[in-house]
Amino acid sequence: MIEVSGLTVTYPDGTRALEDVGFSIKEGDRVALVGANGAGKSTLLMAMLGVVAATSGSVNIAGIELSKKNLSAIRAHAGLVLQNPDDQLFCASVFDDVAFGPRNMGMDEKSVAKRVDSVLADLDAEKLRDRMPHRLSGGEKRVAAIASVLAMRPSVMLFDEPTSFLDPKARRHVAQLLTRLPHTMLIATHDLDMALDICQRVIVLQSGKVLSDGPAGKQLCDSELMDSAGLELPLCLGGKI
Amino acid sequence: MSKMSDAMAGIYTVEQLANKDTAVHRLHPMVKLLTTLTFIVAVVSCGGHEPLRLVPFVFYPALLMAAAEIPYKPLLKRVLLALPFALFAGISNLIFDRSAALNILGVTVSGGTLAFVAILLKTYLCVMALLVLTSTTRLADISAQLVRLKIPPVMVNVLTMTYRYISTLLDEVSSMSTAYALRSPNSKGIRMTHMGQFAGQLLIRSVDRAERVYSAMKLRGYTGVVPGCKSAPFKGKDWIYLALVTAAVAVTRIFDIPSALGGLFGSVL
Repeated sequence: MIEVSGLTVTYPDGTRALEDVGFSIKEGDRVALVGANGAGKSTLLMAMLGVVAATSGSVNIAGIELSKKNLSAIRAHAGLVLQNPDDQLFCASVFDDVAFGPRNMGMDEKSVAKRVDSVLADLDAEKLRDRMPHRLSGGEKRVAAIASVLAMRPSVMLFDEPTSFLDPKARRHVAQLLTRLPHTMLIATHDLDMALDICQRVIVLQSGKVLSDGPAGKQLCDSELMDSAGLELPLCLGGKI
Repeated sequence: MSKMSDAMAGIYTVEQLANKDTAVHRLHPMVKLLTTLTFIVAVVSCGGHEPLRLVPFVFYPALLMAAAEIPYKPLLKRVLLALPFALFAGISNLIFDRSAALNILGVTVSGGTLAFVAILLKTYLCVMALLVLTSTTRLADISAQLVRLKIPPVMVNVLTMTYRYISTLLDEVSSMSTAYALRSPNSKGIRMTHMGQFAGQLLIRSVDRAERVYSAMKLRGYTGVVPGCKSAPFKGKDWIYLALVTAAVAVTRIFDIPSALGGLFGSVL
């Protein structure tokens, strides 16, 4: 479903954000991408959808090779939920934000309204429909941001820190929401407890390189590996507070 | 800090008013937009030396506010924000146009004074009409109607986004001010020597955010064209409201009602 090979990203100032990153994800898998701050998690997600230009390497999502020509096709297959929902929700109402993608896909207004209502119903977020995005709570904003991507019916979902800045209840709500979605997922996160809870596999990034890739239970329990990646064991496994 | 909170609370108040459910709120947004535009055109096109002709127009926003259950105080406060601009624009009339235009009970009133009062009244009426519109119609509905009126979508988009991100920007300013105040306890507000850095930081943060928002838009298929949306057709009550208000505004604009009433009372007395 997702094939990334030899992906390298160098920023104009010469900083190498990613170096020879490669992995593959099967359809329906839920994979966590962990690493310390500056490890390259967000850059990897952005590079996979062509928002950040790769210096070399290839990305293939659902059989579509990432290239300038295929940008819109690949973005129709894979949706990215950004870390800060205020960046993702830019319209005057949640309805318009969720409708933004479907309208850009050329859908007629009746189908758009149907699609928006069905996505919001799936996420138990019908009450947000006519609210203004900037008046929502952190958890509600996150749900609206996920809805805005889901409305495009992607087969792959990429998440950048989906549980950051949330209170425990909202964090649990978002985590449960992710388990309900049938999509192939790559979730960049610092929330190792959530990664352990909902992901089958973990990719560990360090300084722009893949340090390790394997089953979540095994990887996240390996204190030596976590330590070398600049991380700590999940709290539920006795990580320090 | 409190100014920032006041500004945020002010924006929130207008948004809350727009979410009310009264007969005026339920009118089609296009009808409210068209009647407001007609009203503004009528007010602006009145003669520069005829402030009395503008007096009947005061009833339009006042009646609408009463019907929409909108409190006068918050809206009047916002009108006051616009008046200094009108004062600056009108003050030159007082200075340069001293020709006698009117004599009231032996007191000569100059043309400049009439023009000055007319400018103040026009500003009050136009700003009040717009405030009543935004207090009875959600911004999302107004922007959808602007697109239907063939206003370039990019302009509508800029308007919507500016409004959308005002509170985010104010939040940003507020947290930066707090961080500054905590490390500069003896200074009242931001010192002029630090203002450049402060504004520069704010600009950089805004540019970064703009880039991230643009990325989010591109990821959802944005190609520079904002997709339009159809809105519900007019109902009978919308047509009636449109016809009545347009007729009333046209009559007020065409006929000199204050003079006619003055003449009527004069002949009776």
